[in-house]
Amino acid sequence: MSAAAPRVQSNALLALFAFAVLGAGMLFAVWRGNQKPDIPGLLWPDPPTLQAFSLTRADGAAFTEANLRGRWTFMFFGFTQCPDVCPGTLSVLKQVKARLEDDASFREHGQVLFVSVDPERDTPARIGPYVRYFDESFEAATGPEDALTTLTRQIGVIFSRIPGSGDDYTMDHTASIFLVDPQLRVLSVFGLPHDATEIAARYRAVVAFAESHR
Amino acid sequence: MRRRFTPLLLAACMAGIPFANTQACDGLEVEAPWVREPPPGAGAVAVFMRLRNTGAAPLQIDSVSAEGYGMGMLHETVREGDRVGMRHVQAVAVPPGGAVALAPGGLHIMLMHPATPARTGDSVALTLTCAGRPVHVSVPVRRDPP
Repeated sequence: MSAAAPRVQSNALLALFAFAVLGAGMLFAVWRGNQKPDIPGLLWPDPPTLQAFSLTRADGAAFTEANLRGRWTFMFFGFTQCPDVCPGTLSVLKQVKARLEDDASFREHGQVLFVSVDPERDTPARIGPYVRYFDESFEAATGPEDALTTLTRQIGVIFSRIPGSGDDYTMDHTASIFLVDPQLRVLSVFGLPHDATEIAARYRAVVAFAESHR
Repeated sequence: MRRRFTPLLLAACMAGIPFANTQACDGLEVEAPWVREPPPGAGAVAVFMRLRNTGAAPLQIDSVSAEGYGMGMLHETVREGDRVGMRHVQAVAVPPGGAVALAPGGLHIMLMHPATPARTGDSVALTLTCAGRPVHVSVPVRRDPP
């Protein structure tokens, strides 16, 4: 009988210890979940998750949030009559794709989407050949202004028409590149100036981070 | 690539202009000019180069034109946060002994309304107007920056 008391005590200690370990583990998990690693442009811990939108793809079919699900998508907004920033950025994205050839997540599930914010001039028929000039795999989409803003207002992209001489006009637009994960979370934003090596390195860091924070 | 232009001789030979009148644009050098090949459907192209002033007087490019293009303008890509846009600039000044880069993301020459789209390997015959005198530059078309 006299041996029972220490056993009860040691069982209680063990339970207390297990509880403490469990509690610490839970606290660590919460802490880790809220930690923002040192990845520039990472939108964490509250990345916006894209809600329904509907644009028109170059081939005339619909391009919706469903076309992003299960893919890693670099998204860029511009227009075809933009001689400097847009071709420059699409060239950089072509280089990013080349630099990520050894990355299984991008090789198998990656895509680049160009969204034209100038639907008056950029018909679906025009944006297809335009993006395929940079890479055969690049996707392009556009839509009427309200369809565009259904997407752009979710991530703070702005665009506006600036009159030029005569009938000419140009577009002001957000020139950041956005990275959308397979669950439609906008995980990262890449600001100017765009550098392919930097973007590819950050992509790898973001994917590694996302895999550990499903 | 480095090209030296002597507007003094050019202007004198081409238009028979008195020697002294070309002084204002003396010393202009155009280095590494290139024009970005337009993707299908893109009407306008951007021309980039480095303008150097080896002379003792300030000089200024006031306007631009190119064979086969309806309009040429001096432009600047302007940035406000991550929002970009293009603005017409009246002139590009190059201080004595200084240089100005026309480069992606900044100042450039925009050529609009092409008769035919420029293709890699072509050259665009560009004319810069400096102190009222034409400076001719043959600009190679490239897919990517040199």
